[in-house]
Parts: sequence; structure tokens; C-alpha cells
Amino acid sequence: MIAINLRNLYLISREDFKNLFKNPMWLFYNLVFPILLIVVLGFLQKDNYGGAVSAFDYYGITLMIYTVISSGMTSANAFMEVTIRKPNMRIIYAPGNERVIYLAKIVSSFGFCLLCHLTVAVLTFTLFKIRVDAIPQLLILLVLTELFSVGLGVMFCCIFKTEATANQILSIVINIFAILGGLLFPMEGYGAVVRSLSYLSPAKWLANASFAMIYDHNFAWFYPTVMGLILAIIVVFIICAKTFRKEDCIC
Amino acid sequence: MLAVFKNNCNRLWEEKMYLVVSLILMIVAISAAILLTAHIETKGNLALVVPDQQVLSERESALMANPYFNVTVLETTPETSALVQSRYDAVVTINADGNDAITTIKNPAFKTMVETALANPTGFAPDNRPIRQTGTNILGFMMMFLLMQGVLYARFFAEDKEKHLIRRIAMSPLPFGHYLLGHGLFIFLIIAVPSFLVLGVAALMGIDIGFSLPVYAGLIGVLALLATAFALFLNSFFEVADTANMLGSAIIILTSILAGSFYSLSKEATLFDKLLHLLPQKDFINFVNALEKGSLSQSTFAQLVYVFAISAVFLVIAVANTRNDYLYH
Repeated sequence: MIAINLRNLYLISREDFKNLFKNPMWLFYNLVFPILLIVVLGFLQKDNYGGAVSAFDYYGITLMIYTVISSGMTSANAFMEVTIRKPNMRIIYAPGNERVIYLAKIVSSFGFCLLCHLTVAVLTFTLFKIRVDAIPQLLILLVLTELFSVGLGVMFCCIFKTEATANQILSIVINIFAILGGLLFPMEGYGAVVRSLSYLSPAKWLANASFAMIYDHNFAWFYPTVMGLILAIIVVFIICAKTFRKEDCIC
Repeated sequence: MLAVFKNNCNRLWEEKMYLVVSLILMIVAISAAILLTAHIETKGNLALVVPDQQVLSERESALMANPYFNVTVLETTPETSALVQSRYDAVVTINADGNDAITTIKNPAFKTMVETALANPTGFAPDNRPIRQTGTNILGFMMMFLLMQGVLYARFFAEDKEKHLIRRIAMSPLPFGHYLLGHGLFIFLIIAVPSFLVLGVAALMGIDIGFSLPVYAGLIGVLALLATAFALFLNSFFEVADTANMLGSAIIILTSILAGSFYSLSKEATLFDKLLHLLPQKDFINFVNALEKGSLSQSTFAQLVYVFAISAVFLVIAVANTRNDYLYH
């Protein structure tokens, strides 16, 4: 692999980053939608909880995880967006490494999503007094998961070459993970079979790690989850590198 | 109209990879729905903390035999995170003096219920909560996926708009109504047929799916109609596929949760609950629930009619909107 010019990567990422702010739909999906989701579910489930732990304490955390694993939608759409196809083609012709095309998409959507989701987290967590603890560790999880899901979106684009397939796969995979992992409603209480099925979902691992750290200062789930995420990120990047072909960016 | 339909089929056939992947995913999603609902147990989960050398009293053994509770005996108190994640609904700790202490994060009403159960374990039965049966659960889980698939399969319509093919269609003798119906037919069939086949296979394998296959055919038809109408409605507003796509999935997730497609959210007949009936998903799931329990009434039929009506409204708006955008008056 030819060395990647970091300055090029920075320049292209910066343009991509600016481009993400231009489409109001990206902002809606990453900023408004998560807040709406947390507010709606939190208020609806409020009466089911007593005083010690509120509905927001549960749904705030799980829906943040849901939002973060959905970032793949943003990166996949940013990669193959209509307005960005022609600039991509120019980069192919420009001197330098063409890998900056997809790396810049990963970097820029990572930055964009992280910024949006941190805003959502700060806003909702203070507004609804959601209990958090072990903030540095949670931030590590947030950053790693964000990188993984953004990479995943780009990976599906690299494999299937079309945005439509990537979208279709992402929307189903993310939602199956979310339901299995109990992000949209708690799955733990539905019997032993469902409980063991839920561990198939990485979202479950994230939720377990977060809740164990927040409520019990128990870091037993944290380290395996971090290791798993790092491994998954490496795999995603390798697959991107193997399947990306610059010919696909020609339009 | 048929020409549009055929053309869409050819376009899909050109992308076999996409076709295969999307069909596999559809099958996976529906199988997951069947698998999950087949194993769901809706019992209250209690943790009974018995410090060592303590013998279970008669009362506690009776509690464990109660069919409405799933009691787990533990030696130490479970972690708070297990309670937050609803692993246990309540923790009953037996103190050295034989008294019980109940810890729960659920509402006071739930705590009172556990207290009553603990006081009289043999005779205890919870108030008859409306528990959903298999068929309703399967359709509830499928609903969100089918609706999202609709928006995704509307991509040929979106592509027509994105690549301005639609301007040429506007010049052709084909009326817009027919053109959109062609797209609609395509979306309808590609959603309804695979999902029905998966359920058919499940029924043949002897899995309990709640309804008979002809009933499922009708219900999936209604759902596919709603998905198609919503997809065309949404896409008629935007020039770019991504926008419709992301907005569509956001709306569908939010409304499906609100409508209680996974579990019923609101119990009392509040104003909010009445407003929720504006969501077609809520009416649909109510109708299915009534159908499965055999408690159909005039109002549940009205709910089904509402689903048809709102689909029709979506379609009409989609046609009117597209005509407005692309025909010159």
C-alpha cells in the first residue's frame, strides 16, 4: 500500500465535513431524531418506573447506543451521494493516492456524527438528569463504536458498489441488532431463550458494558467490548481496503 | 402501467446482487420476528435472594410455583444494572429474621402487586392484562421492517426523479396515475410475496404462527399496501433518494414505537392515546389483536378501514404532488 498523504486526506476530509453540514437531512437524522426518540420513549415509559431509576435513565443510554450504531447510514449516504460523485471522480484523476476518497468519507462522517451525538448526549443527559458515571470509559466506547459504525457504512458501499444495497443492508442489520439488544425496549425479561439470543447483538454488549459501569462500577464488560470493537474496526478497514476500486467512482 | 412494472422488474434483474441480498435480508428479518415471538415469555421476573443456610419458607416455595412469576433463587443481591435492564422486575430479599424486603425500580403499583403476591402466593393471579398472542406479535415485529423496505424499494421511482427520467415520462402519453401505480404494484409485490413465502415455510415447518395462511395473506396485503402508499407519498416530495430514505426510516421507527407495534405503550384512554390512533400502525395492530382474540367489533373494522383510507390518501397525494411538479399547466 502506497503511503497516504496526510495533508491530502486532511484537505479532502475538510471539504467532505463542510458538505455534510449543507444537507439539512444529515443534521435532522443525527441531531433532531435522536433527541425526539429519547424524549418520546422517555415520556411514554415514565409511569412504569419508580423514583430511583427513571425511564430516561434506561432509554437515554440505549437510544444513544442506537443513534451511534446508526451512523453507518450517514457515512454510506455521504459516500455515494449524488453531489459528491463528481468530486470523487476528480480525485481519481488527481495525483496522489485514491484511497483518500473513502478514508476522507470515514474521517469526515466520523467527525460530523461524533459532534452531533456529543451534542445530543450533553443536551439530553443534563435536561433529563440521566445518570452517568465513568464518563471517560463511556467516551472511549462512544468514539470506538462511532468509528466502527461509520466504517461499516463505507464498507458496505465498497463491497456492493451501490448506495441502495448498502442502505438496505444497514437499515435491516441495525434494527435487528437494536431490537435484539434491547435498545428500543428491554429484552432481558422475556425468558431465557430470548436473553441468550440477545447476546448475538453487539448492541447488547455495549448496553451491558455501559449499564454495568454506570450503576455498579463494574468494568468486567468494558475491556472485552473495547477489544471486540478494536478488532471489528481493523476488520472493517481491511475489507474496505481490499474491496475499494477507484473504477466504481467513475460516473 | 404494466410497462413501468415490467421495466422495474428488469432493472431489478440487472442487479442480481442487490436482489439476492435484499431478499435474504428480508427473510432474515421475518425469521427473526418469528423466532423471537416464539420464545417470548411474558412473566414477571423475580429474584429471590436467599442468604446461605437459610431454608425457604412455605410461602416462598409457593411463590416459586406461581405460574405468573419466573423466580430465580440467588445467593447475593443482583447488580443494579440487571434491574435497570429489566432482567429482574423486583428483588425479594429474605432477612435473617424471616421478613422479606422488596426492591424494585418499577412503579409503586408494581411493588404493591409483588407484595400481594408475596403475602398470598398460592391464590395470586395478576389482573388480566391484555397479553398479545403470537400472530399479533409476529405482525408487530414485521411491521417496521416491511414499512422500511417499502421506502427502500421505492428507489426506482426516486432514481427516475434523481436522473430526470421522469421529465421524459411527463412528455409521454402515460398518465402519471398509471405511472405511479406501476411503481406501486412493483413495490407491493416485492414486499408482500417474499414475506408471505417466509411465513408459509414457517407454517409448513410446523411453527405456530398464530393465524392461518389465507388470513396472513390478507394482513400482509394491507401492510404492504400501507408501505407502498407511504413510500410513494414520501418520495413524491423529494428529488433525492437519500433524503426520502433517511427521513422515511426516522419517521417509521418513531411512529412504529409510538403505535406500540412491539408492545402496547399506553393503557388509559387518555387524549394522547386517542391521538395515537391517527397512526395507521396503531389501528392495524389493534385490528390484528382483535382478530386474533376473536373480539372483532364495529370499531375495530373502522380501524381497518382507516388504514385503507390513509393509504388511499397517501397515494392520491403522491400522484397529485408528482403531477404538480412535473406537468406544465
